[in-house]
Amino acid sequence: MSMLRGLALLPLVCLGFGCEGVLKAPAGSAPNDGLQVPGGGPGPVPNASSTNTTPVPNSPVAVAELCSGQQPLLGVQMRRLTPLQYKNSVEAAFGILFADPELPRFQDDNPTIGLANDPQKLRVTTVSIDSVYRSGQAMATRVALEVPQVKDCAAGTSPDCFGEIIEKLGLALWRRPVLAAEKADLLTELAVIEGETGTRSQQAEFLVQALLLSPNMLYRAELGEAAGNLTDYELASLLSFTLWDRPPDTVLLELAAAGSLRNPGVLAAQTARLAGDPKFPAAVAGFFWDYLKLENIRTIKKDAELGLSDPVRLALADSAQQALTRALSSPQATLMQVFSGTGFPVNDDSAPYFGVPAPGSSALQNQMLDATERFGILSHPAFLTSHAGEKSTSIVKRGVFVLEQLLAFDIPAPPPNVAGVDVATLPPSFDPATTSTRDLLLTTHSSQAACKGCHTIIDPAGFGLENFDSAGRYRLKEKGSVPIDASGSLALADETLTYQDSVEFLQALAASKALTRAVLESYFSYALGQSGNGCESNQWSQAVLAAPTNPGGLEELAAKLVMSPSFTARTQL
Amino acid sequence: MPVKKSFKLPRRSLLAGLGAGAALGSLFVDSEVARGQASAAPVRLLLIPLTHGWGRDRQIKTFSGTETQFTIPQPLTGFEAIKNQCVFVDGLRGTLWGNAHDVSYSDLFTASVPWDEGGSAQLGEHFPEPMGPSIDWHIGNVLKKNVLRVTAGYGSWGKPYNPICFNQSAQQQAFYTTAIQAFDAIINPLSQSATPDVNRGRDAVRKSVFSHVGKDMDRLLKRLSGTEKLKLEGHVAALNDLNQRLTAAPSPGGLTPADLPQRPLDKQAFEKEIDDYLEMIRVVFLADTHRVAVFGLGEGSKDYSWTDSAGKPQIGNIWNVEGFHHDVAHHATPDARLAYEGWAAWYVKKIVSFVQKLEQTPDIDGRMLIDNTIIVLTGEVETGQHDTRCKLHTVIGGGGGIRRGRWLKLPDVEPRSRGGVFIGGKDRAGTQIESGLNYGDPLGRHHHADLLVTLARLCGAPLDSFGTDVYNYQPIQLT
Repeated sequence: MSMLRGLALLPLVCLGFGCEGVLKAPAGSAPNDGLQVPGGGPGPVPNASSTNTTPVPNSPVAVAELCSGQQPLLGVQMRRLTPLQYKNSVEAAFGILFADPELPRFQDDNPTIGLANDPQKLRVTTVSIDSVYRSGQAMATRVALEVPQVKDCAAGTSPDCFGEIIEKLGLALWRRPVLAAEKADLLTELAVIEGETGTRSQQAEFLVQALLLSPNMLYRAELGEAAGNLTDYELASLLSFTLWDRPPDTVLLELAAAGSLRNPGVLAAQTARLAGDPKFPAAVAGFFWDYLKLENIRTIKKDAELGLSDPVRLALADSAQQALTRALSSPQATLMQVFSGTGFPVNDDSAPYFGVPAPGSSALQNQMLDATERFGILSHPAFLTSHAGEKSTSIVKRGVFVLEQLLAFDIPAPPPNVAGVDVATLPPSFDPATTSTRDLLLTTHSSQAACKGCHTIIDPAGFGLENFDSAGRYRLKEKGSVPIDASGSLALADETLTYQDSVEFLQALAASKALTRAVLESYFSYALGQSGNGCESNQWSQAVLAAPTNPGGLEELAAKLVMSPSFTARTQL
Repeated sequence: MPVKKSFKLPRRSLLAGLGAGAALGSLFVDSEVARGQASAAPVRLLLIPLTHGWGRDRQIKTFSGTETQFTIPQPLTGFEAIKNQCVFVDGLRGTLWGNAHDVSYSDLFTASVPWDEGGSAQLGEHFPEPMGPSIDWHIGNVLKKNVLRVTAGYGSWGKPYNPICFNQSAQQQAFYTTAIQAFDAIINPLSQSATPDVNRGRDAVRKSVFSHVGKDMDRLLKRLSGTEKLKLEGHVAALNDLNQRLTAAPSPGGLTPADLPQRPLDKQAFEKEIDDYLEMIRVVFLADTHRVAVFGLGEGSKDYSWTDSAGKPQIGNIWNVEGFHHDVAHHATPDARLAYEGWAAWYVKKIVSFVQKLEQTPDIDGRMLIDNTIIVLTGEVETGQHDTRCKLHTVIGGGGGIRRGRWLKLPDVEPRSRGGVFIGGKDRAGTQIESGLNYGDPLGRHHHADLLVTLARLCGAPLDSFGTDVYNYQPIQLT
C-alpha cells in the first residue's frame, strides 16, 4: 500500500478486485477518539492544560510516550523553495525588480493527490537547471547595473566593497551569515576572474549569480545541530516561510544572530507577531490553493461551449484566492472557515458561473449568494471546474478527489477486464438521452459485482456535487429536463454523511470529523514538509481539535504548530 | 518533412569537406568521428512509450502466420510500410498485471517495481518507486553519454511527465516537456560558434559560478544522507549536465545551418511538436551527443486531426471525452474500440514516417541511420484494457545486428497450472511473494526485463540480468 498515507492506511477492506465495507478510521485514531468538531462528536478529550494523567501532547516527552515505538521527531531535510518563496526571497533582497517571466521555471509537479510543496517533489532537475541558471545569470546582470550598492561597487575601485556585498546579500539570500570559508572561496573566485581579465562588473555579476545559484539560497536547510535542535537561523526561516511564505525579516534575523529565538518566550512572541499579520492568512490560503488544486482552473481543458475563456478563468482564480484569504482573515477564523459561508467575490466575467447578475464591473465585488445553492469554497466554480470533466461533471472523478485528496483515504485501482453491459439486459425504456448521468453511471457499471464494492463508496461523494455542472454553475436539471438527484449517503470511518442536495452535502462534509482531521493533518504536512510516521501530526491535530475553541483560531493554530517538537528539533542522522 | 539534401551525402564525404580542424571543434566533438573511429557507428536506442499502449489487444485482433510470414493486426497495420524494419516481440508480461495503468509507469524500463506497492513518497499517490535504475539511464551511464528525454503530453495525475526513468538510486529523471525547451537546451549548443568564448572574463565568470556552487554543494552533502543526500546529488547531476552542455557546446563547424532543425514555436500544434521532437532526436543521434533517447507520447491535444477505424474524422484528444477512458479501459465497447484504434494508428503513421526518414539518413559508417538504431515502442499497458499480462513490444531498426521482419510469438504461462513457473515478485525487503492469481488470461513467460537485458547488450552496455532477479528468465533473441 501507499507509503504516503501514514495516517490513513487501509481505509478500505479489499477482497479480490473489489472493496467491501465502509471507509475505515485512519491508523492512530481510535474509532471513538473523542474528537470534538462542529456538528457534534463523541465528546471532548482532556486538553493540554487540564490536570489529568494523559501526557500533554505538545511536549517532546509526551509525544515520545504517545508515539511509543515510533520515532517522535521528524527527520532532517532540505526544502527547495517553492516558486512563490523564491520570488519573495528575491524581492526581499533586491526589491521588486524582476517580473515573473524573469524568475526560474522549476516545472514542479502539481499532483492531483498530495501536496505540491512536498519537499520530496521539489527538486532541481536536468531540465529545470537551464531555467535556474539562465534566470540567475540574467538577474545578476541586472542587479550589477541597477542595484545601487552593487552598481557602485562595480563602478568603483574599492577592494572591500565586494566583501561587503557578500555579507549583506548573503544574509538576505541565504537567510544566514555567509561563513568565513564560504566568503574566502567567493573572494578567491573573484581573483580568478580578475586574472582572466574580467571586469569589476563581471566580478559583481559573478557574486550575485553565485549567491542565487547556491543551494544555500535554493534550499531551506532544516538540519539542526548535534543535539537535534534547529539552529536559530534555521528556526527563523522555518517560522517565516511557514507563516508568511517569505524569508525571515530583520527582526527574526537579529534575534537569530543574538541566539535568542529558541527561547520559548521569544519564539512564542514572534509567532504571535507573525500570526497577527495579514501575511499569515494569505499564506494559509496558499495551503488551501494547493490542497484543493485550484491552480487547475487556469489550465484544465474544457469544452468551448462552457465559455471558460482566459479572462473568465482569471476572474474565477482571483475570486477563489480572495475568498480563501477573506475567510481566513475573519475574526476567530479557523482552518475550517473556508468550507462555509456564501459570500464570494464576483465580477462581470465570472457572474454567469455564480448564477448572479453581472455587477457591472471588471473588479471583483463581494456578493452574498443564495444559501440554498452555495456553501463554502467547495461550491466555488473555480473548485468545481477544476474537478470535473471536459464537458460533464465526472461523478467518479469528483468522488475520487473528495475521498483521496480531501479526506485522505486510499481507494484501490479499478479491476481489469470488466465485461461491458449487455444492452439486451437493459429495459426497453432505457434511454441515455433522458437518463440522468447518475442513473447512467449506476446502470452501466456501478451496479456490476466487480465494481460495486468501490463505487458504493466513490459515487456518493460525487453525487453530492451533482447540483453543479462542469463549470460550477448551479443546476436542478440536466440534458434539458432530467432532474438532478444530488442526494446520497457517504459512509466514512466512524460517521455517515446523509444529504438531499449539494448544499446539504457540503454542510455535512464541513462538519465532519473526517474532513477536519484530514485538513489539520494536511496542513501539518504542508507546514513541516513531511508527515513523518504520522504520530506527531496526529497528536498535533488532536491537540488542536481539543482546544477550547474548536478547532482553534488561526493564531492558536500557529502557536500549537510552533510548539510541536519537530518545529524546533529534528532526529539526527 | 523531406529529408535535407545534405544528409544524403555519406557522412565520411561530409567530414572530408570540413577539414580535420573543423571536425574536431564541431558537431562530432567527443564522438567516434572526432576520435577517428568512424569505421563503426554506435548503436542508438530510442524508447517510445505511448500512454494507454499501442492498441494491440490479442483477445480482439492479433497477429497470424509464421515468424517471417505474418499479418499485422489493427491498429498497427500501418507498420506494413516498414515491415522489413520491425520485430514484433509478442507476449512480455509486466510486473503488476491486472489494472496496472498507473503503477506500471515506473516498471516500464526498470523491471523493479516492488510487489504490492501503490504509491511512494517521491512519486506520489498511484506511482510506486522502483528499486533500481531504468535501462536508458544504465546504458547512458555505461557509455558516458547524456540521455535525451522528451515528452509530448505524456503525463497524468498532475505530473508533467510520467515517472518512467530513474537513476541508480531510483531517483526520477526529468523530461523536457516542450520542443522549444528541448531545442534551447540541446540543439542550441550545437549551433554555437566553434570558437571558444573570446570574452575570457565572461568565460571565467561561468567557470567560477560552477566552481563555487560545486563547493557549496560539497559542504552540504557532507552533512546529509539518505533521501536528502539523493535530492542534492540529483541537483549536482543537473549542474554537471548543464556545465557539460555549456562547455562542450560543439558547433556544426562547416555544416550549414540548414542541417540543424529550426527553433520550434512556443505553444505550437501537437503534430508539429511531435515532428520537431523526432527531428531533434535524429540530429542528436547523428551528432552522437546522445545515444539514448526516451520520447513519451501522450494523449494529444485539441489541435490535431485523426480518423477512427471506421473512417470517421476526429479532432482533438478523445480521452477527454466523458466516459471514453472508462469505455475503453473497462468495457471495450465497440465504438470506443474503433476510436481507440484510430487514435493509436495516428501515432503509428508518425513512427513510420520517422523510420522512413532514418532509412534515408546516411550514418558515419556508410550505412543508413536506421541500420544502427533501435526503436522500441511500448506502453505502461498493452491496450486501454489496462492489462500487462502479454504486452507487445515493437522493435524497429537494425542496431546491434537485429534480424528484422519478424513476429516473435513468445510462450505463455497458464495461471492455473503455471507449469512450475514462479509467478509473483519481490517486495522492497526482497521477500519473494507468489501471486495468488489462478484465473484469467495467460501471462507471458518472459518479463519485459528480458527485453531490457537484450537492449543493453546490443547497445554496448552488457548485462546478465536487469531489475528484480525473479523477473529475469532468458534474454530475448533479436539477432
